[in-house]
Formats: sequence, structure tokens, C-alpha cells
Amino acid sequence: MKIALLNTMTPFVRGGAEILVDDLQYELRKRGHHVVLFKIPFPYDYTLPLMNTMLAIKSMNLGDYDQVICFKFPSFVVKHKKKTLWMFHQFRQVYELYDHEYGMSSDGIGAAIKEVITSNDFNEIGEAHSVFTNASEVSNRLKKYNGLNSTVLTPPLKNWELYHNLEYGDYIYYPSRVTDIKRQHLAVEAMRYVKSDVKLIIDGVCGGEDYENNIMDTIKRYKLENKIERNNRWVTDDEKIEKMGKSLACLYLAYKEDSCGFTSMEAFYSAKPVISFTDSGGTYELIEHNRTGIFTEPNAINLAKAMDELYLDRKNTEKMGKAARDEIIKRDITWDETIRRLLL
Amino acid sequence: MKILIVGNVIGNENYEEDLLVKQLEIELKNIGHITDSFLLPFSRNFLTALDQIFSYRLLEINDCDLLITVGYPACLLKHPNKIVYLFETLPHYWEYWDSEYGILGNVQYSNIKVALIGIDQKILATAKKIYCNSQLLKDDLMRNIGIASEVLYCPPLFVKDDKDVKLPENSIICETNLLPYERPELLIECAKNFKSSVLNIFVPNADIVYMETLEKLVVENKLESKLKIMNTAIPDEVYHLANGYLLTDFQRRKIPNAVVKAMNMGLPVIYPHDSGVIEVVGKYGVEYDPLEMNLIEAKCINHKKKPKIALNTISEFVEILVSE
Repeated sequence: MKIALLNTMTPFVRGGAEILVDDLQYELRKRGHHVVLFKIPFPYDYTLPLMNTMLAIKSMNLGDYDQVICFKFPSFVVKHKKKTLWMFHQFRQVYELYDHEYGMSSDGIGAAIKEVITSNDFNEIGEAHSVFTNASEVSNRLKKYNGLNSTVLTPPLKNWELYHNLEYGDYIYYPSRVTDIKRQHLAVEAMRYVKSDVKLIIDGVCGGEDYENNIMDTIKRYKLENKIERNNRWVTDDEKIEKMGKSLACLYLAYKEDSCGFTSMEAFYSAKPVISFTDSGGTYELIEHNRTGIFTEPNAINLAKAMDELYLDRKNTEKMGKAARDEIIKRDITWDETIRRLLL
Repeated sequence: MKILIVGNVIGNENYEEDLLVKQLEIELKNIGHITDSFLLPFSRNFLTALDQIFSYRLLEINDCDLLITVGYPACLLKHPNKIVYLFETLPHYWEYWDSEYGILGNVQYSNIKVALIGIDQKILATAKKIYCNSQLLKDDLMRNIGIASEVLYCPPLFVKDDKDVKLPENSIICETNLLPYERPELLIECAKNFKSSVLNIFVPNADIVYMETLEKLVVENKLESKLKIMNTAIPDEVYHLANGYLLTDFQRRKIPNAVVKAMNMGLPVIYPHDSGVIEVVGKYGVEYDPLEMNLIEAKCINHKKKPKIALNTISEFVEILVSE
């Protein structure tokens, strides 16, 4: 079958969603399909350029393909007779983030853009052949704001069998794209308040210079160089697997994120408990408080307490890590099943 | 330097653009540039050509110092510092215009063509540099829209393919998507006249209708033992096993990657006198007349393998591409 995968991209930035789509392309090809991955650059300006991008996608012709699978907003506004959505998120700036810190403001243009996007979402998602989401947060939001039904299809992790536990070391590991919405800055700040000798490693490319400077300034200002290792680069899978395997636990602190995050899944396969915030969103689908991880209030002091707790009570940390691995294995999230459902 | 590379993929046709984009990205990273790439779709739906080009123009591409575009209409994207590499433009509106391989030169299509000329002239003039895959294309650009460009032959682009293909003895190979201007009817004619050779047709990306038609013709003409069809691009090792490479294209501006690879590996390319690749293949291949398909086998057998031809490597290609 000829399949087009259609996604959006921020040039030079690569995160979990991009990895997942690459993995899907690989898995589909492995099963004999002819697959092309198209990526539409997402504009930085959410006003006219964003509207233009939506219009551009609507004008694209993918009629040569038997099926189109769309992912991030606004890829799903494309027209096709068999359009399948595996939606990672809508444009949250006009939904639950609207008129909040990370969302669009309700001034004249913001309200107009919200109107265009919400009506487009309703029409374009509504006419899709099938609608899957990556997390129940996304499905709930789609139901709440657009009145549309969808099915959760949890993304499988590529090479999950490579993740393993090597030891319960003395550092907490946070590998992710480094950006304010992933709140690495709170992890850095928490290190000011920890009482134990726990250390922190933050790996990942930072998209914004200001945010990276902010993190590095905090480390310098509070003399945290001995407690925090920061690697502003793309880490290979091998490096990540090893660091995760030797870590004490992992962090996933995204703000109101829809999915549980690949980092959480990788940590679970590595038998590591995950600390997350009560407002992180999708991590609730995976982590069970005090059994497979810890949820804390989203501030540095509480995060520091949780980090100390895992460091000081290692026996319990190991127990939580093993429970985390058992839990994710039990869920049996595989590519065979995912692809079967996507191509139905 | 932050370099973004973009190519366009046409549903049932090209893959050179896709491969070149990927290899450029790897090569540019190797020499220390911050690089990213992406592909955009394009369909040969002639009536929607303008809509699709409009969609390319609407896209915002910023945050890079240099944009390298591979293919048409990726070359029409907006960017103040853009280098264009073209394999061909819109053949149905140019070299195949009003012919059995192109589109009818009626008022409707003529109007679209006029609009396309205006767009191409205006937008390509803003590119920092334009490179063409063939002299024919360079001449076309100057003659049709008055745009100057340079010829830069594409290096052989290698496909990582795990498929294990076994060739029978005395094999002649051919890669095609069975498009009308690739003249699949010549393949049947050729195989009909084979005495001891086998024609192995590799089809990386065909439309199912074209594919089924060819399969039907093979059965109707009882050519099952003389003509084999494989749904893949030609794996690299196969070039070493064949006696010759058969080309059937009519007036192509693009020099197919399979031809470049065949030349690179010293395999004789048997080409029709009306194909567009003579400028490159001429010295090394064997010419035939499409009306005399009965001579193909003899031409292959009599033509010994040529020494490998030194073409641009990908690093030489990149050096020229980003030299300014």
C-alpha cells in the first residue's frame, strides 16, 4: 500500500513526536508498504503565517497515495479520501492554554485565530476516516472542545527491549527536548533545596538560547556545578539507555502534556520510578503515585523533597522501579497491533 | 552554517530527490554544518499544479542561513538565500507538451502554462544559484523562461536495501516506473526478441494500473521466462551481475539515478537515440533505434563492459553546491 505520513516540524528541533513518526515509517516499510514522510515547517508566528500554513496544507495534493496518516496540528487539515489521524495534540494555545501563560491571548487577533482553528479542527477532524490519539488527555480535550470522538492508541517504544536496569546510581536522569514547557528549570532549581547527595543529569538539545542561558545561570549562581550535569546536545540511544540504566530514577516534568512522554516509558522499561508534577497531564496514565513513581506539586521545593526521598530510601526506590517495569510489560504496547489499527 | 534542505516527492515517480536530500543532509553534517531536511508532496495532477505551487509559496521557511531546494516545485519556496537543484521541471507542460506523453495544448492548459511561466520566471530569478541535472534542462530554462543556470551532474545515490535479488544468467536490467514517457511497450518488444537473455525490470514506485497492465502483457505474450518484474529499485549488487542496462525513456531531462549508477559501475547502458541522456551516456553506452528492438540483445552481447566512469562524488557535489 502507498502511504503518506504527514507531520509538521520545527526545523533543527527533534523531539518524541518526530522519533515516533520516524519509527512508524520504519515499521511500515518493514511490513512492505511504500511510505513517504512529508514534513511541513511550522511557523514561529502564530498569526498570519500560521493561517498560511493551514491553507498550504489544504492545497496540497496527496491523491497518489492510498492512505494519509496525519499527526501534529495542522497536518490533519489536508484533504484525502482515506485520512487517518494519529493526533498527538491540537493547537493547545487556543484550547486549554487559551488566555494563559503559554497560550494565545484573547485580544482581537487571538480570538479570530482561535475561531479559525477551532472551526477547522471540527470540520477536518470530523471528516477523517478514523481518529486516534496518543493519550486520553488528547481524546478528552477533543471531546470537550470539539465534541468529537476518538480512540487512544498508545505509541509503542522502538527497541523497548534494549532498555534495562544496570544499577540504582546516585543521579536522577532527565533526557528530553529542553524547553520551558518541559520545565527543566524547576529541576535545576530543585537542586538548591536537596538535602541528600543526589545528583541530576539533564540531557537534550535546547531550542531557545534564552532558556539555556537561564538554566546555566542558575547552575552558576547557586554553585550547582558539582550536583548537575547539563549536556546540550542530541544523545544517542545507546548513551541514553546506559545513563538511564545506571540512574536512580527519572524525571518527566512537562506542563499539561497530553501523553505520558517517551522518557517515562523508557524509564519504566529501565525499571526506574519517575517523578512527575501533578499538572503534567498524560503521566497520570502511566505512573501510579508511590507505587511506580511520585507526583509532586509543581515547584522546586516539593520536587527536591521527592528526589531526596528516592535517594534516601533506596530499597523502596528499587521496589518502585521493578513495579514500573512490570506495569509497562503488562500493557503489551506493540507495533504490530498499532499498525493493524492504523491501517483498518 | 544552518542549512535546511527541502525536496519534493512526486507520488508515482521520482525518488532521486528524496535520496539526494538525505545524502546532502548527511554530507553537510559531516563537514560541520547544522543541517535539517524535509520533503513536500507534489502530484502530477495537471489541473491542480497551480494550487499546489501556491501551497509551496505560502509556507514560511526561516531560521536557516541557507535553503537548498531539490526538485520542482520545491525550488519555488520563499527564502532570501536559496540554492536550487533541478532534475526536471514539469515535463508534461514542456518537453511532452501537446504530445502523446504530455497534456493536450488546449486553452485551459495553455492558460495554466502561461501562469507557470510567469511564476517560474519571477521566483527562480530570486535564487542565488540554480544548478541543473543535465545540459538539456539548462538549455530549456534559458530558452523557455530566460533563466541562467549551471549544469551539475548528480552523483550516484545509493539505496540501502536489504532485499536479496538473484538474477538469472544473461540478464539485462532496467529500472522504470512504467510511466508513458518511459515507454514500457518497448520492454515487451525487447523481451519478445530475446533468444537467450532475460530482461529484469525493477519497478520502485509504479501506479498499480500500470503495473497490472504490464503483468497482463507479459502473460498475453508468453514472456514469463524472458521478462521478470521486481517491485524495488535496483539493489547495488545487481549492477555487477547484469550484462547491460536498458533505458527506454523518451526525451527525459532527468538523468535517472539507475543510469548514473550503471555508468559508475561500468555497465553498458543501451539507450534509445531519442532519449534525453545522450550528453552523459553517449560516449559510454550503446545507442539503439526504438523501431529496431530486435537488435538489443546482440548489442548487449557484443558490447563488453566498460571501465568504471569517475562521476562526481557526493562530497564533490556538495562542495560545488555550497561553494559560494
